[in-house]
Amino acid sequence: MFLRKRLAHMLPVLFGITLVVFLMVRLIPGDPARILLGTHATPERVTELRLALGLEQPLWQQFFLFVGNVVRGDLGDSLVYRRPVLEVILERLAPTLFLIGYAALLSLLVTIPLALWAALRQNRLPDQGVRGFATLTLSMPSFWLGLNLLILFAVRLRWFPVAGYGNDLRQHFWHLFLPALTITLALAPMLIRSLRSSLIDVLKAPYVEFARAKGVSERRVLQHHVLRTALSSTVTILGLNLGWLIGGTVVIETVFTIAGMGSLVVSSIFARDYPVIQGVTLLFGVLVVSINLLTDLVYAILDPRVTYE
Amino acid sequence: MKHRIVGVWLVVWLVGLVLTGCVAAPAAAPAAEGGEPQRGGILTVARSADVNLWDPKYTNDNYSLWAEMQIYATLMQNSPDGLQLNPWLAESYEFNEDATEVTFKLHDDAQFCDGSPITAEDVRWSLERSREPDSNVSWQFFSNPVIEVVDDLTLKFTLDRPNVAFPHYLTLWGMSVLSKKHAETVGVEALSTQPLGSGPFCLDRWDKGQLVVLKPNPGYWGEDRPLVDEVHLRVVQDDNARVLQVQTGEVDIALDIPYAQVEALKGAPGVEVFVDTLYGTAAIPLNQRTVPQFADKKIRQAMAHAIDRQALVDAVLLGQGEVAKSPFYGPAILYWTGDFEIPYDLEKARQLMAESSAPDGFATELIITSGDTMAAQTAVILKDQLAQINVDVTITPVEAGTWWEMWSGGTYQMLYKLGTNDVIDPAENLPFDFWSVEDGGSDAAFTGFYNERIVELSQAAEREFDNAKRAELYYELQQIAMDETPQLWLFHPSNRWATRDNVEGFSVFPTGLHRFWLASKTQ
Amino acid sequence: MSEPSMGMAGRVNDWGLRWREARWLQQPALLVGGGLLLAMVLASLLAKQISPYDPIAQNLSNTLQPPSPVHWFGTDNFGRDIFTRVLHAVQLDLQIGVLSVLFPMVVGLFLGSLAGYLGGWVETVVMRVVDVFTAFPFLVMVIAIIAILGPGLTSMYVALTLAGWSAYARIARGEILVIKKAEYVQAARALGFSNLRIMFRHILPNIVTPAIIFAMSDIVLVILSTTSLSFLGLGVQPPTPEWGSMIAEGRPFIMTAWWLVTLPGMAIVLVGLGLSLLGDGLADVLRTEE
Repeated sequence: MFLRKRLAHMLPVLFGITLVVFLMVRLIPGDPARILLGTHATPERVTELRLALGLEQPLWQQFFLFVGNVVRGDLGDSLVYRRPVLEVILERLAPTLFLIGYAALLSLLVTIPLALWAALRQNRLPDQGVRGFATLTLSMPSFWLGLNLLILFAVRLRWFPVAGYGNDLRQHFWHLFLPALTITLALAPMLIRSLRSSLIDVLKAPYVEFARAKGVSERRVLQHHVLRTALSSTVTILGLNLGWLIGGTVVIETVFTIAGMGSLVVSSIFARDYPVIQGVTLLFGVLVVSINLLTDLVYAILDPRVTYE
Repeated sequence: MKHRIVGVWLVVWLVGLVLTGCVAAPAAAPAAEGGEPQRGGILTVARSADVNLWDPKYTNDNYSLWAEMQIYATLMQNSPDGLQLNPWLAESYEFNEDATEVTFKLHDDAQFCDGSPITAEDVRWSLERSREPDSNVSWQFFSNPVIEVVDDLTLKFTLDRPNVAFPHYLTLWGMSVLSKKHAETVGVEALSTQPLGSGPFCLDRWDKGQLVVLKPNPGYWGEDRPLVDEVHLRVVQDDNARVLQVQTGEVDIALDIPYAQVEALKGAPGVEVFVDTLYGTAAIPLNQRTVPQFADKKIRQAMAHAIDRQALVDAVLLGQGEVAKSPFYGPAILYWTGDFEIPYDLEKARQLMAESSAPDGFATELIITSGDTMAAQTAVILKDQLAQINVDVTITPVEAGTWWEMWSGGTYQMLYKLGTNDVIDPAENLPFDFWSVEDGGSDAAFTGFYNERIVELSQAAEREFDNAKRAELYYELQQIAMDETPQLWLFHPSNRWATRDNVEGFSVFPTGLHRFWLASKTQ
Repeated sequence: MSEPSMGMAGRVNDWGLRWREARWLQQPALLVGGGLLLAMVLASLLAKQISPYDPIAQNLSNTLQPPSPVHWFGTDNFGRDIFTRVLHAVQLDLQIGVLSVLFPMVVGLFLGSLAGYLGGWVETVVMRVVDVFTAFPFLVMVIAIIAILGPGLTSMYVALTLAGWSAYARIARGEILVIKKAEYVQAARALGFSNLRIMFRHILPNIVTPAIIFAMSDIVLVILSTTSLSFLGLGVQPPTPEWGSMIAEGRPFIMTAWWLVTLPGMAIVLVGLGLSLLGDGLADVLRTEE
């Protein structure tokens, strides 16, 4: 019931995104035909190519053609790659998704112990240390941090490769470590702050006191009662940020020259590859909306107090 | 403090986790015994971008066309030193006397990668396809040739105006020869991903975004058969990574070495670094339609004299390039002359300015593409230098697509561009740089400049067979162009690449093209 | 004219003011953060006294010098003193950061409270639009808008406003839904005050607090992302000193001259730190007030 309502809610949003991106790419000055042809082409050649690409049709006709195709699952062909947009996007999606998943994993690995440590020793040295660390890394621009990690660990120490994605799973982990670390250092502080404060709240809750009084071991109390409840708010924050991250990895991908979605977006805008820009934006929209949905579901599972209708 | 400890902890943990499997040794191929150039082995090349697609008809980026030119043959080819034009897939060719018809005879033993013969019909079909309305390379068909198949091995091109430079254009990637039969079998859409080679190599594997594997074409007709067993084109986008990989021997050749690292690489053991000319000019077109001052020849000359081009070469290219002395795209272009160089002369510039229609100077805007560091550096220095004659330049970076629109739409004032000549004959760019739209050009690179004599000279040179006479025509053309200076021609950047010291026979031509089939590896 | 509801709101504000004066001094984070920012602004105002160099003039014979007593942060590839450029960029970068948060905040609060207060189809439309903007990739929007409007600071503000307003609209609407039911608002309605008047005098002041708390954490992120935009080449016009573009221009030299990238970034870290601390302190003050 809840799921169906949320899914129905997604449709107008996705339609809105489609409309906005369609109009937006066509408002940008710059003619794809002129860019494809280069400087030597005469104006007649440019018009010929525009005709062939269907760009001379009235705007509303182009729009309905596009929407009609999307409904049938066809995002069109890229003007640059001359292949189906979906195919081009899926090739580039893998590194981006891998990077984001990797970063989310690292972030949780860093967040949980540090936040727990800080919360259990509230207002003492570990707590202040962790909070100071969070404030400091939150103040670092990720592209700058990334470049510095690159200079130190890849260029000077040569522990990690300077760039790229690698060919198999092990290499992916190795190649993407520095970029994932960069994202982690931006993401973890927010998570640490949120988890720490909800842990502090939960630690004071009556049922925790009760569990302790009953003689349940401290470890069990922490695992089953405290962490689980406190994590739910952190998952929400992680979910909110994942959506933002998908759009924001562009900069990290630029720094570490990973051929992911980010570079595809930028190069497609520069080349005015309308079908690819539209497809990427739509797909981003679907991803963000689905991640939000997923976050709500995970939230409901983690925190038994939450119910949806 | 905390920050560092956590960072180090994570690093140690992850290194432990992954290091074990990551020290994969590069596959070493056994090389053949003795004999001068050695055969066999895998040649690994680091390039900064992948191939976008393999269909020349829709190709407009360097990294795609450089790879396509390994697997496709063209009728004509430049000699390895880039100084001469030779037949390639054509065995020979012949002009009629007024340079309006050219007849080509093909090699009779040329084969596609599937072993089928390359016929005149394949050539005609490929070229006709490249000039269809939806093609990106239709501009390469100068003089609108009518293409006829005379017999299986003979083709005739009839031009709409005499053009002795025409065979030069048959070296361009839009003239690549594809198999008509293959296209009919797989469908033309599939040509983007499943090309059938007609040149020295065949495409063996393409892991998109990562790796291209090329293997020799057994049916290649030329004497210069590939020397290595395989060529691996690896995508290594980052400048620094390419440099590191050629230093560690992970790759044999690294293309596009950044200017800032040429000096450092010169001392690196096992590495050879090369800097050679590029047929390209960094220039600033001056739009006379938006800035009335640019219609004043004295102002254009004053600006040209106020620029210290050598300082630009030293600062922007770190000395690895050449000052532009001609509207032609580099000293290695046919008929180039440096006789009309515009020297840096501030006194003269100020004097010209004083005599001009704007003795007190004026303000103008220079457009660059955002993210282009070479453009930004050049612009910042130009701003400094032009301020000396009271020309106040505002630098505006715009995103690449907007830059195109402002240039071709003629709404810019000044703009930084890096133009290239794709053949060794200067005739390619003359219509673009000097002709009006009515003549079939682009209003002198969208500046609105027009000089009748220059157009006459370049058209006469296209009709002229006699090299000495052509040279005279082009000499006069360059003299007038440098005097008029409708664009500020600044400098010629260079091609820069590095190889391991056991690689032989490889070089990058001034057009940017390179031939992996001439390269070999010794142990 | 004295209005009962006004009196109530007024009293809250009076209390707030008195409280604020006292609490501000008890917040070390607030003081340290504020002090840090103030010191940077002062340093930039005194830039000409602190450093003898010109931030723009080139010296092509003195390029890429490492940090030294003469050039504290070294020189860049045009021979310009990096420390001087960092100092001169303070005001521009702070202005970019503050305005890039202020504009979306104002627009978002206005539309969000309109939606929450009026309800009905206005709410539906506004909140659908909010959903669309939330799920729209930020970067595509920003790059596209800068391309449409042409480069420059104005288009950057417009772009960041369009990209950032939706979060504030959500906050405003959420708060309004609660406040709308509050007694004093019901009273004002009963007295027949106009919708606009109720909104501006009675409701808006109450939603500003959570918005400011959010804005203080947002401002750090926005400063960081505006500098990222110039890293992608979409920022200010060269040779204007600006931290993000300084880092971007230094990138080709990371193998040979690290100071071009590393040192200008320290300034961003300092500002970010100052703003974070200021925001934390402010949030504490405002929260205890409630």
